[in-house]
Amino acid sequence: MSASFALAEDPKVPVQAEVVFASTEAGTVDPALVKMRDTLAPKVKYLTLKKLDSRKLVLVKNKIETIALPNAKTAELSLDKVENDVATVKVKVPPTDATYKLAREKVLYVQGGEHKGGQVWLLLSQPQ
Amino acid sequence: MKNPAREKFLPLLSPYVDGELSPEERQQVEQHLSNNKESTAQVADFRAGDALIRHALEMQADQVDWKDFTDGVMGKLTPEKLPFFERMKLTLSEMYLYQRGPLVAGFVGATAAVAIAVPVSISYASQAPQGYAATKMQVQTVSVEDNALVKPVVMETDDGDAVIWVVESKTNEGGSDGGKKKKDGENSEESEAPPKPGQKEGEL
Repeated sequence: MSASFALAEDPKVPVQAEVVFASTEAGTVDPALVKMRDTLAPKVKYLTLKKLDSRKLVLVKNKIETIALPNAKTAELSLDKVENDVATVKVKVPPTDATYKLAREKVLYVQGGEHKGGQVWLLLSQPQ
Repeated sequence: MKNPAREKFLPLLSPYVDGELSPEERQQVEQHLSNNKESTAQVADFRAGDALIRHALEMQADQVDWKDFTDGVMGKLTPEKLPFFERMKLTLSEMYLYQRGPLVAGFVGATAAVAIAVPVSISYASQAPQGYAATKMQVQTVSVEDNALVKPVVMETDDGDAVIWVVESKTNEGGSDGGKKKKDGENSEESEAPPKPGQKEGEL
């Protein structure tokens, strides 16, 4: 088998990563983040949700993609494996480290720590 | 003095005026009228009477308001409005009867369009990037750094989303395993109670 064929077999998994500032102080909620507000509402009623960054990453095995968070932390994403067309992704947002399975049109919300009286969240989902 | 010929033709005079006789009878009556002034006068009386009656009827007709006559008559003649499906059925049957060619061509075209559009839309809708075959986000493992005074909390929503919270912890529960928590992903809602902003563990 040639190396080029092996490379062609390597899975590439796109992930949409969004960095969001959230606060319980009165403010505005980005229309695109209404679902996030509603999802978290049973536990925390965020009155301010603002998208700070949004980018599409393409994850491949053995390669770490980084996302700088506004609170001086850096989130790291990497592809662990793809089985039966279900990708398992590692996401590290200090001090937490998690692995999760991607799902179609679903979102993983990862709390990324404090920032300017609120909190930073990392949202991972299927690119549109 | 009786005139046998007049008595014979007398019953035929009125039908003659009304045009109800056969050509042969009419010819016989006209021959009789040419020889009998009395019958000729009577035929003239019949015609005058008819003219008077016709004139009287026309005068009556002129006094009637005919403005809504047609609508009134047609309203009585038009049956009740058919149900929608009956009307559609009637329309289609008439179209099929009188415009069969365009109808068949349209049907074939529509069928072809559906046959092309449905698979395309289905394939488009089912297009998801590689790795997204699962129906809900499943957090497999969550861990924290050894010396972190926090612990992770995982919540999976009914919609299939997942949330990883970080809760402040008074003690380092991570220990040597790095505080690793495993999720089995089976309809679990939360592995721990979620925090409120700035809230410490134990205050939940």
